[in-house]
Amino acid sequence: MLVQEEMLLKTEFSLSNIKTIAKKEFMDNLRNNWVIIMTILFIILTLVISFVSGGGSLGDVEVTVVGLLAIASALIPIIAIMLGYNTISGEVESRSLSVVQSYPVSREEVYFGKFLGLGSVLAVSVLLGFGISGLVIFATVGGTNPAGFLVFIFLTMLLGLIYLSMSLSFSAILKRRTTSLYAGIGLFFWSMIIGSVITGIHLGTGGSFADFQSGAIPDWLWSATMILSPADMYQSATLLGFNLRTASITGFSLAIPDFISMTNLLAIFLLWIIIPLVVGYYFYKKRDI
Amino acid sequence: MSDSEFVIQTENLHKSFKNVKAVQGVNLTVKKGDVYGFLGPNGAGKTTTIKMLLGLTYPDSGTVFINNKNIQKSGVNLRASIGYLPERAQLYKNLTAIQTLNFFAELRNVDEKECDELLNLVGLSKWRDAKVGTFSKGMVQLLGIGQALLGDPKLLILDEPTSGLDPRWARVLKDIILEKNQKGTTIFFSSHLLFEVQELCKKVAILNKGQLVIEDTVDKINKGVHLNPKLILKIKKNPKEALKMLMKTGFDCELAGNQLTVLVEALEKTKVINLLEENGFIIQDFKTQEPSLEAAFMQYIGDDVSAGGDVIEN
Repeated sequence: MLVQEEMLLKTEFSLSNIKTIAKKEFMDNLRNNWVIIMTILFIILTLVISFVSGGGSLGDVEVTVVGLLAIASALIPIIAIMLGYNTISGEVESRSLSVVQSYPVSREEVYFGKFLGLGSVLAVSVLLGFGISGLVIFATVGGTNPAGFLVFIFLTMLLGLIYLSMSLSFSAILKRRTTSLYAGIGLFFWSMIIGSVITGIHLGTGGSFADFQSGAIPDWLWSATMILSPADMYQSATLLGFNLRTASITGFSLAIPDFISMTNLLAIFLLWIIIPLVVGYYFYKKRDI
Repeated sequence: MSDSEFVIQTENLHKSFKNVKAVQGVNLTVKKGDVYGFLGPNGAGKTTTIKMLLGLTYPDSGTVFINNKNIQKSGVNLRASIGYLPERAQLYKNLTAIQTLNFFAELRNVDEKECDELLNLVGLSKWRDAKVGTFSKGMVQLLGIGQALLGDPKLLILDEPTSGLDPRWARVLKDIILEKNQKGTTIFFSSHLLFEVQELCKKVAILNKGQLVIEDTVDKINKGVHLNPKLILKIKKNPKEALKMLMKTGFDCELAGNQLTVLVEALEKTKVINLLEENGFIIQDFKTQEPSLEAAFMQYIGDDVSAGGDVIEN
């Protein structure tokens, strides 16, 4: 048995070490310029969209969130990928990871500690970015569904964790910082086009564009989109969070079928987070640092 | 494997990256209390070997024992007694110097009070709360040395530790190494600066193309390559005649200007001087130069420094 294979069988977990690694990642990345810029951008965009949807004054939070969904689906992957792509491959190249792993800390503690720490940065950025603007909107115009807004923030964090998990995984698999960056860029474009690809398949197999305008989207298309496109899943889950099963987003009429529930979608969210994370861990455990 | 006097032992270590054999059958033995020099040209496999010692890189075959325990089979706690400084490590740019040391102190379960003492030791107290991203290479190296010393580890593995340091701080580091060694710390020291190794190390290993060329004490290595001391003389008149005369007598010598260099056994120095004086040559000045580790190194490695060794994976 190769040494790598032997090592895969051995795991050591100390919550205290995971906490130490997570704390370091949090402190190191919270001051990352990207995170600060994106957080400010979240605040500005939310207020601008609210202002536009309110016709010159701040609009209702529900309308604001529906207007925000498409843009949040694009921005959240960017911040998550920027946080994750460099984490392992970049630190191997800079040799800081070899310093950390020369300490009495296991690879699983480092890997999951990093995910936890970076996930916390992402959560804080989303919470501040959307939370501050949400508070401003609630304070100014009030709102009927604060719980829906909290669900939106929670789902936005989950969407971020999906892309963080994938970019961290690429970073653990790929040897070089530059290839991890290319993978991150690829991941972003995939997140942007997967929904359209599925739509294209529908149109190419006898479906009609009018189905989307009328909201008569077939069940198989719903299932495929919810499973394969995290951004679309996020948008649908957010609407369900506001108890909406119909909405119009970027010209498309959505009528979410009854078989799609928040529970189903949360389960898919979790699978999207867990599977890449575990695959990345497998590669990190056996890679040379 | 159970010889408690050894801190590091490797058995037949092999490591390849794609088609390049980086390390081939390396056997090292580092005794408790040694200052052990690990030499080799660039790309010889030193860093790959060091990473295998720490369990950072997995060998294709072979075993590493640290304090008689197999590093691959033991838990991470085996690394609690090892301080490591990689070559040109970059630390976390957004953390301050003290936050960096506090982070590593927490991982080694060391009292955070020690961090300020170490910052003082490596001359960075003034920059305690400055971000590492604003540091020069030398300052990052000093901070790296500080983290390696946290918790007073019994084994220090230092890969090119003086790299990026100005001569003053290189001297301070050497003094720290010697002081730690006097207190019982074993030092495993990789450097391409042979005078440093000669100054600090009792025992040396030379690696070339991933293979161990020799592992022995500095004295024995010098004797092993049969290097003689050099007697360097300044001759006032007719140095060419002096050269001819000495060569006829059987000495190996060469002339540069009026400076005559003669390779001599230790007891022959007086004989050469007497011979020159008896033949009417006036010696203006003379000095002896003992054989250096550098000369021995060059004899072992020669110009053949290509291929093998450390590889950056694509």
